[in-house]
Amino acid sequence: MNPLGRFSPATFAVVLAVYLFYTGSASEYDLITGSIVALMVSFLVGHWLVEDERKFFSPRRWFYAVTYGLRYFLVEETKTHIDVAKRVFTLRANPGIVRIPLDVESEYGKVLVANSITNTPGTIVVDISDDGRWLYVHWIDVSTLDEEEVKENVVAYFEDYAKKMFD
Amino acid sequence: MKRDAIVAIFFLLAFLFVSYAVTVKNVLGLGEAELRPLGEFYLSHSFAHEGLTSHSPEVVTAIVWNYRGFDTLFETFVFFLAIMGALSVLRLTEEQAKIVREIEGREPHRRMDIIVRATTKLVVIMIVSISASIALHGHITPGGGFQGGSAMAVAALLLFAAFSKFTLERKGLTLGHTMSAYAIGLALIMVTVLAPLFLYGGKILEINLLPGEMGLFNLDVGEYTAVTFGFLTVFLILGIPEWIFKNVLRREMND
Repeated sequence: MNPLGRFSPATFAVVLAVYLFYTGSASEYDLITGSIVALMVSFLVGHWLVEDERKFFSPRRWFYAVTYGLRYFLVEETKTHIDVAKRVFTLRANPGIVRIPLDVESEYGKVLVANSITNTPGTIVVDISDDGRWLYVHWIDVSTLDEEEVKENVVAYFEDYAKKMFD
Repeated sequence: MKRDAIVAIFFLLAFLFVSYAVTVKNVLGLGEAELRPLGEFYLSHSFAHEGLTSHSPEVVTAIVWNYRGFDTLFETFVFFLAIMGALSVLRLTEEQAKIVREIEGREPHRRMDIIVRATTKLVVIMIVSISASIALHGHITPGGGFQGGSAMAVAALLLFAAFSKFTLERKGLTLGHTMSAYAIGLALIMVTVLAPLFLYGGKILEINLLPGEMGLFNLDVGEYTAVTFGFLTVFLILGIPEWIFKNVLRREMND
């Protein structure tokens, strides 16, 4: 493998961004040291973090990521928080563990769906099958056992965005 | 469980109350207290970049290196001795190391699930970047080599937990490599400390003789490398399961 093939611009960008964000300044010294660190890390880990560079630098995917972030944190989180808060006071709960099929192909897509589910109150991912095709989710209100309906209730639109962002 | 929660909430409230009383209400009268002569001396002399100073633009680092540079230097040596102690107590001969590798190779390779692994990847990369920032920016903002190296050690621990020690060793993170990197870090510190003595005719650790902030920068980088790989060395040794260790040592006894 040629040495340039190991270089990952996406890793470089991530490391440099985190470095500058954490340092809190973008002076000449920080830019130079940050770039050196980012270069070393990106050569060291290669394509371990980001496998497909083109996906990382695609504006369309970043656009979906931002839309998803806004929609998820502003709308979905509020809705589920209110729902769980109601349950706390009325003590209406019917907890159980359900199995949900996953269609998204990429690793990060699966992680996004799983973490989104865990982050919304009322649902927690307890396990993922070894082949990554099934999620086992603890759900506060098992109202149905039909696979499609369960998926619609718990996963909602997470997977559509995960596919657009990572697949 | 309930008692734990009550105790925790009590401590939190007590802490909030005390900090509010001391800082906002000024109960202890710390706000009006005059600067003591020692504090005044530090503040007025730290930024005066003449005479024996480390040329640090930040007062905490200036005090660390202007007034207790030797202390920091010897802390590095204490850490060095601790690692050497660990290495010599838990050392293995080459044959024993080979046996350990064989036994470890027969162990089933377990790793955590895809969610943990993918998240760990991203977090580890971010920790590496942040630790480098702590270390390289250490002479301007609070931080420095030791703090950066400690943060970096956390990244290594995360990799151990989410993947496995064997994966890392297969990728080239062996004891020999970490020891060499540790030695390079220490060598950089020694060169920086001794350079004023030989190149500029000054004293040991008189890093203000070096051009600009180079002395501080070198010490930070050296300490960062040394601490990172020092910790890694210890982790790699301690990462060998105890039963394997005992097995190998007992075999030597029986022979």
